[in-house]
Amino acid sequence: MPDVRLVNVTKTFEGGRIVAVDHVNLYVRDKEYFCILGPSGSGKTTLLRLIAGILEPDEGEIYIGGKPMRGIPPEDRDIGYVFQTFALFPHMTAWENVTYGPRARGWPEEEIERVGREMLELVGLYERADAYPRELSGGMMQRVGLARALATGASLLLLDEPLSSLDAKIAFELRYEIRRLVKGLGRTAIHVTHNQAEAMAIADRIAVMRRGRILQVGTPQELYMKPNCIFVAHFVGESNFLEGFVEKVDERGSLVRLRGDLIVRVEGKSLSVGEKAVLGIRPEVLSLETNGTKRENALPGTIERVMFEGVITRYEVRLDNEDLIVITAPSMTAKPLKPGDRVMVCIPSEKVFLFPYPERGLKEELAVE
Amino acid sequence: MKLDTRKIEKLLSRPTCRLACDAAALIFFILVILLPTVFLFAFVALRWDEVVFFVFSNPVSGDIRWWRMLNAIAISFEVAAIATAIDLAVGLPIALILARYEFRGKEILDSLVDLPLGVPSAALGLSLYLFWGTSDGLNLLTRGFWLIVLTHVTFTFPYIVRSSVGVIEGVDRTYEHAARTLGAPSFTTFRTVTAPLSKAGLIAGSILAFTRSLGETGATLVVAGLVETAPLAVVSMHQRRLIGPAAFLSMLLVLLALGLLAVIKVVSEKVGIPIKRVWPGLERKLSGRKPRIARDIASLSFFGLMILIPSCFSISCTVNHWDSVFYEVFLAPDEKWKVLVDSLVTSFEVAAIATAINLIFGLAMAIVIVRRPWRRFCSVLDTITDMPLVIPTAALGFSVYLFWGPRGLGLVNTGFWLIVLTHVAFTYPYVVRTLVAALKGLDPSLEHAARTLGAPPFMAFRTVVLPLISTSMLAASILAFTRSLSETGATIVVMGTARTVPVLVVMWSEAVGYARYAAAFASVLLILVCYGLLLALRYVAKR
Repeated sequence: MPDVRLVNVTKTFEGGRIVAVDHVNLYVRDKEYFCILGPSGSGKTTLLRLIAGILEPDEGEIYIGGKPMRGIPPEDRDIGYVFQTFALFPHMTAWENVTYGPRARGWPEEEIERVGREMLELVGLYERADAYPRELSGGMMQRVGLARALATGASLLLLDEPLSSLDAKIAFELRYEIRRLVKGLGRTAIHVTHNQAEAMAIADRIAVMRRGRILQVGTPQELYMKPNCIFVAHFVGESNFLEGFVEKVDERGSLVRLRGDLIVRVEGKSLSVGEKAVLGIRPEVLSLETNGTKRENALPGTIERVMFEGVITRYEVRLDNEDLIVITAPSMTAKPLKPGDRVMVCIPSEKVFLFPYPERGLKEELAVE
Repeated sequence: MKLDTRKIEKLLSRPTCRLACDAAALIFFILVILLPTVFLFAFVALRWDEVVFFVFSNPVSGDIRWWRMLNAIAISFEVAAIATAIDLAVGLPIALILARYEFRGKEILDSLVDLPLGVPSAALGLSLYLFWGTSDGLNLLTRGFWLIVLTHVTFTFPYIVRSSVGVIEGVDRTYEHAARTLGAPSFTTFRTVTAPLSKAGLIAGSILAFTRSLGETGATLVVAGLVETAPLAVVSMHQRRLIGPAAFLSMLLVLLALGLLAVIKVVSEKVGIPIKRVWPGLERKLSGRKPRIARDIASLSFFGLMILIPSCFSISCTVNHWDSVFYEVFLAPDEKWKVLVDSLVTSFEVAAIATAINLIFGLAMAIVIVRRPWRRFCSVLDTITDMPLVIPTAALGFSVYLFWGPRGLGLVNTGFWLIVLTHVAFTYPYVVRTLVAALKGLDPSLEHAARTLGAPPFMAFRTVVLPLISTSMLAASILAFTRSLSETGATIVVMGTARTVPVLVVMWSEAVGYARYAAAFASVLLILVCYGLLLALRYVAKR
């Protein structure tokens, strides 16, 4: 039963001056494919190393399969670890790399043979068993790395940015392959990445991490549809953020006054009258009208830039109150618009996220470093 | 004015100037370094009859000299082998501590390990003799084989630790993490991952220690007693004017050393550390906390008790017997202090001149090796500049003496300038090696950037390259300077009536007990200067 539970786990470096992981509580279910998503420097790799036992937490406790892990070295934790840089032993062949774990555990020779063959076949590289890592491509190396981590039969697989060192196309193929293998073998996986598209595509659940803290845990859909804070709305997918004050709260929701006295109706009513608020709006829920009349939630503005990006086209509109707002629309069905055109930006009130204005300012809240 | 310097630099950048510079570097290398170093071989070939007469078929002694030579060589190799083995056994755990642990006082341990490197070996030998062999110290060992071994362990130890720390730090820790997560305990991880990945560096370090032991003279002279290693035999034959046999023995020593190195290289490439088998039970036990702590304590205490304290013992000896020291040096009728001052001046002059010469021609040579497009030629040059490193300094001094002295070209007689020429020869590789590394580490696009901004090649070199390698040049100078300051074997052969401090230490300590304290005083002076310079080097290198 390799579920993983983290209770109040804290890890600092340089004598406490850098808090890499800050009182993290987390529960990863048995056989779950779990992603930890965060920008670089958010502490997600440190968290993984703590689970692996490469680092020891300053505070808190980590349980794997219900057993407390404090003081247990990595070799006794029954885990597999896949590294961003592959970390294939350069002086060993693919075969020797993959069978290293079983040998280190002193398995009988025939068992080692069987597992080595099975694992290399699983990743489709059995015929390259005698190749040294330097003779393999990046994608092949990571497949060997994966086979090596799976070969010991460890029921918990830890993946540290396993796709970040690979070409985009290879990474794209390999992400589904990894999930398929892990699910097929019934293992639990904790996958660390800074790539939100990757996390969304393969995870059962995702934890978004920033500055050593977990902000939100949920399925990809939950994170995308119901982000619990500005950063999650910003980092998972993409959002426009508009500042304003709550003008009125009624049974249908709230009215928020933006600068330039533009009023936007939203469904949320989590804030009270007079509070400063931030509206988060995904670019794809907005629509543009060229000859619309003035009405609720239709804000007038001028097209400033049009960017064709293939599947979608991106419009930057300068609202009449000087706020800038981004709208995306499918390219094949989009209206032909050009910079300078006057438009109305229509906001669907039920799809707007309402957040309280952050204490340290919006800019600080959005910073990904 | 501005324009003028640019014009001059443009002029200096012309191909003819560059060619002249390259030519000077090569001519200097061939004439001052290479030929004097290998002249030995020519000499033996030319005087073969003399050699045969003295060594193999002397009417009086028959071939007894030949057997003595073989004996001396055997002793040298035994000492070197035992010393290197002890170095590895004690040095590796300490290297691991330095490379992989974080703890307070690591800096201090790190610089203490280098201590014997900075101490002139003659001074070290005296210190060890005072510690082990006299009533001032423990009085446990007399001069002889085991004291030689201990002395050689002491001064070769830093080579092993230094090079091992370097390679172990160079192994990406991710590999170790990977092995651990795959179920290998720490001992298995070291044996199957870290050690194989740093094998080449460990072997290079061992070879360095081995050759250094094989060619050492100064310390050995002090601690040898009646035992004669090959370099000592060379020195003593030279002193008895047995030029032919001395040359022959030097040559044998060089050839055997080279042969052995070649064998080690080939064998070590073929034979690896066993990585296939794992003994989980045993290795798990070895990886435990207790064995690890026991190992660390054992190696650290060996280092402290057998290396550190004996190396510094002459300092405490000098302080404790300050009255005798003062009498011997300043009050005794033979006025030793005058000789001491004279030899101090000589030592520093020789070191300074040799370093300056090498800095100029060494830089020119490093540029040829790194920057010129003749790939094959350059890599050959790169290899043969190391030549003086593998030749025992006594043999090297002897060869230089043969080349310049009355039996060769007859240009320079024994004395100050021959000492300088010898010191130039054996410190040359240190300078070139350091500067080649510095130049290779430089991003060539920086120089290209300067060129595209309008700097002629010479100016680009002066304003971009030179400032960037200045730390390495300083490091190279300090290395060459200390090496020259502490050399004994080569100096003894070529010095004539001139004296350097290490030679003085040897001479005074040989005068059976009589001037022991004066020798201790002289060696303390040397230790302080050399270790001070070494600490300066570390400081420079860190920045």
